[in-house]
Order: sequence, then C-alpha cells, then structure tokens
Amino acid sequence: MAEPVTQSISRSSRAVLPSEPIQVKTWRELGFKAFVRANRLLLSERRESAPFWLLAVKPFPISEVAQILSCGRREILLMVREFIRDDIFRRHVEGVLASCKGVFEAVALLYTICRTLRPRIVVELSVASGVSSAIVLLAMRKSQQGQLISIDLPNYDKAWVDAVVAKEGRIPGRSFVDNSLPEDKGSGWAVPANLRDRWELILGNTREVLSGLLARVDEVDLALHDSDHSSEAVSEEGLALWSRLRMGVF
Amino acid sequence: MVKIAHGGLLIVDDIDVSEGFDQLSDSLTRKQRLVVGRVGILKKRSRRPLVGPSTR
Repeated sequence: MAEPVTQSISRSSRAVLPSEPIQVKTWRELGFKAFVRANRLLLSERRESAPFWLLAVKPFPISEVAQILSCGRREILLMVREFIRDDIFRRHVEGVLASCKGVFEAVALLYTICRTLRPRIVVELSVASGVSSAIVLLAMRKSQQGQLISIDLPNYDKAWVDAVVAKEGRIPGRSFVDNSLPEDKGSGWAVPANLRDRWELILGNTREVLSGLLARVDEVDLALHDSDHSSEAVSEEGLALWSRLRMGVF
Repeated sequence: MVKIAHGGLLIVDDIDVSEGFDQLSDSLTRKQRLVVGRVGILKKRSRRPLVGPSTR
C-alpha cells in the first residue's frame, strides 16, 4: 500500500529535509490531500488553476522506491526536492496544463527514477502532449546524459486516422483512439524547446515501428509504456521492451 | 555512468485498466515489482523471462 510522503519523512528522514523553514512547511503540508485537491482541480473546469507542484508531489512509498532503485531514501528525497524546486520548469508546465486532457500522474516519481538511474537510453511508448517526455528530458539535462526515443501514434491527425480506419476498419494495434491532444497541437507540443536536443520522436503505430527501434539500440535502461492499454498490447509490447532492458546484478 | 546495480526498469501506466501488467509481472519476485497508484514498475535483475499470455 502506498505510504504517504509525510509519514515517511516524519519517521526517520528529518536530517535530509530541506533546511529552509518555508520549504519544510511546504513539504509537510503537501502530500496526499494536496494531490487529491490537485486531481480534483484537473478533472474540473477549473483545471487550469491546479498548480503543477501539487501534482508533482504525489506521495509515493519512498522506502519501496529506494529498494527497487537500489539507492537510499536520502537520494530519493533529494531528487524530489530538486524537482519541485525547479521554478522554470514548473512555470512552463503550469502554462501548458490547461490544455492537457491527461497527464502522467506520477511526475515526481518519474523524475526521481530518471535522476537516480541516469539512463542512457529511454524508450517511451505514447507521448500525447509530452509532459512525461519533458520530465524525462529535464532529468537527462540535469544528469548531462541520456537519449529519449518516443513513439507516438499521431492520433490527433484526424485525416490520418480516418484514412487508416477507412482502409483497415480500425487502428491496427490499438483498441481505441485516444484523442488526448488539443486539435491544433502535435505530439509532444508541451516539451520545451531547450530540452529537445536529447529527444527523438517517431510518429507511427507502435506495432509497426517498435521492433525496428529496438533493433538499433544495444540496451534500454528505462522503458515507459503508456500506449494501448489492452492486455494484448501491454503484454506484447511489454515483452518486447523487456527483452532489450539492461540486465541488473544482485 | 549508469549505476551497475541497476537493472533496466519497465514502467507501465494505467495498470488499473488492463490485466497486461499482472500477466507480465507474474513470474517476477516481489523485489522486482512495485505498484504506485496506477503505475507499475518492473525491474530486470536476472535472466528470468517474463511470462506473457502467448507463452503460457
């Protein structure tokens, strides 16, 4: 069961809490209630008023995340702090959130994983607006290494979708077409220009392009699956990604 | 440098709307699997293969 961040901190992590009183207060006040409030705002007509940092600090079980990342709790907390303190990125995302119909909700967790793992190759299936892509790229810029390769079905392109559906009867490999992008925006429109130098975006159907992508990379350090959520697609694409994931050691 | 102790990670979003994640993680140990809300994380730490529905 997910452990609220505030509980995790109060148990044994006082030494690594941010030193400034205002930051401590902010950190302690945020947590599950704040995330629920942010989510409620995001789902309402007033979603543009939900501050990004409320979404960013969604609690996650620090000890368990530290265990799966083979690092200490202190490292996790430092990375979360680094993320929520990035005012430039926060302002950027707050500016684009109003147009995003759906956002990968575990943003602080994703940033923490990328900063801790320091991946060389990240493969992402599905981009949509690109908030999660931007978070991975932000972590890569801070780590000064890594490349993100994303695949996205250009589902916002109605003419493309109509043409494929007319020919095939449906979009091959997808059980639905998720129109999560604003009509006038393309895949990854929310990724800041200054983070795009480590990013390769492939537009196409995952089933058609994933095997070619995996054939040209030696190893994948981190894979994100957020495309077709049908059991068949998750299993097939998950197995394909798993086969190229880097081996760890005990 | 990527830390050598780290195996690659597979992150699957929206695991609540699909059984695919459970099918993927069935063959893994508890230490290789973490669920945070709707997000599932699998860690590759050995040559133990994932077992998908097509290979069962």
